[in-house]
Amino acid sequence: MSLITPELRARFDILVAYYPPDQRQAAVIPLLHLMQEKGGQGFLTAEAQAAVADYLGVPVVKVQEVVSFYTMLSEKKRGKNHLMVCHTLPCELTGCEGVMASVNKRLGLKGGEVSPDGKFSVEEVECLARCGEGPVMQVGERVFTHLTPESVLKAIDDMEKVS
Amino acid sequence: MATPLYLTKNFKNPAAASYDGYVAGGGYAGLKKALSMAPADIIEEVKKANLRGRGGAGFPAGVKWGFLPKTDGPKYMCVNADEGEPGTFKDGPLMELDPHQMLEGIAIACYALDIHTAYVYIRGEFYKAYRAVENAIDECYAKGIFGKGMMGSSFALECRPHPGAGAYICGEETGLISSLEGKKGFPKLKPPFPAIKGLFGKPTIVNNVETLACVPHIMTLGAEAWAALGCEKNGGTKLYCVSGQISRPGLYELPHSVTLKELLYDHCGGPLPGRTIKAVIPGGSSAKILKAPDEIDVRMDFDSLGKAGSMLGSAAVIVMDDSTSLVRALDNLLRFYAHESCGQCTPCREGTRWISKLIHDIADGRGESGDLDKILDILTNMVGNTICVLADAAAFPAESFIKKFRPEFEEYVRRGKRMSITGWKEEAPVIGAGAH
Repeated sequence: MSLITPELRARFDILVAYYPPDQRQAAVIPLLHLMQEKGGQGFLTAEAQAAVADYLGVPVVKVQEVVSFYTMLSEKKRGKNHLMVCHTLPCELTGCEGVMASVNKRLGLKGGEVSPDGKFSVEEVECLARCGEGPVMQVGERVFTHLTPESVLKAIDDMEKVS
Repeated sequence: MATPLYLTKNFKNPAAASYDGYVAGGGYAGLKKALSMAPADIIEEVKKANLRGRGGAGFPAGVKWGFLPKTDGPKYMCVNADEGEPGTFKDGPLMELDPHQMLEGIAIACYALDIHTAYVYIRGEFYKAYRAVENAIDECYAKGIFGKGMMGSSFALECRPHPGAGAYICGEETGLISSLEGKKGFPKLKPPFPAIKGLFGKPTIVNNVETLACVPHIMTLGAEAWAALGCEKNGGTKLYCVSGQISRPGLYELPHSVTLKELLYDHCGGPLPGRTIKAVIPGGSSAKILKAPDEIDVRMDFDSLGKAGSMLGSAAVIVMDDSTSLVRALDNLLRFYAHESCGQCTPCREGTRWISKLIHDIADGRGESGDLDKILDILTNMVGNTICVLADAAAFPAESFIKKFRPEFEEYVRRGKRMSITGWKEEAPVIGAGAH
């Protein structure tokens, strides 16, 4: 249980209280988000999933099937900057293919790879719900809009400098 | 004359995201009025206002509310803030820029329905919206809106945010309920409908963010005035999301009575320079495509678009001009549905992947002449054969693209090479050019 630090446990306690006492499993996604972000790894190890299951008092398979179903929950290490490039229709109509080609040329990462320095990973994702401002990329909480093959390189350079 | 704004009137006023700023602009007056009314009268007002559910189905909100049994015991409100229908970008701004408007709608709805617990299920990628809603909820607890004794009344309401984690299917109301219960987002068979058996097996109302954001205005303006802003059976103003090949893409609040043509040409500036609009998806990627110019002089309300053979859906208007290859566009959409099928029902799991593969082969220049009919045949086994409508949502664009633009699809197969999505005009010979 050492994976759940006292700070994390305090936040878990608050979130679980949002749901009826006999429905603790309802908190599994909020808890997994926290575990992934604050648990120190940036992804969900088997131990982290087991710790959440143990905390909630549900079989570990209930947690595993949730982790495997939702794209934001990851069992694999991701870069410090995980680039989510939208490739759904409105972004493709406005040029996301060129943006993606530019990203691939710059970082040279194949599906799911993390750059050797740990700074970057890339994922083409479905609609990020910013379709009026495409092409769009989301990195953590930051959303980059109206991207061009050039402006996305500038964004990557900026991330490289600060991380 | 500029349209008066209601849903987006606070979008350029950052102060309105806080409780004090929202109240300064007249906020929570609708809730105050509602608390002076009998709950049944509020439901009647919402019915009279012709408020249609704005998540996509357009079901009359007041009628849906009326389905909730008037029993004691737990009942729930689930707010569907899992915006993800390709082309749609209205609920994110509604929560980021004016979270109290939605919360006021939740408070009114829960009072009217005698619901004491509400969850706002927010798309996982919407970090900013989540934080804005979380902060606004905290303020509501501090100011006596949520918690015990709403605005000094005896009514109690708990309201909590709940994040999703990246799954389109959770925007389907029963998929959302499964997800909120901490499970995979598998939709459930209906009936029983959520109003009878929903979250944790209890009676539940699932409403979209925009639907709830309309409710305070119905209270302050009155049902008749709200209804009069729109057209028959479609009350109020509506948020339209316009994207794709168009001069001024963006979010537009306009009367429900606006036509697609007016939206595109009068408000969005028409096509890009030197181009002509070829086709428009009027209501999110699941809606059937409309041909321009023949089919776009249609009112943007739920009933008119239904009669025109498409749907208003989430009011996401995706514009494609004469440069667009519709084969590549459909390839993109079908990949989306194949990716987002939850895998629960065989016709959807297998069907979305099969038609996606066939179209992808055509898009790559490896198509065969029989592929188009094969796709149309597969679609007949998908529609209406699954628990939820994701299979139908993939089939509608597929069928309408192929049937309405068959010569373009056949031409693409004949050419047998991959084209750029916006290179159709340059790369393809004009169809029928040799006939003169």
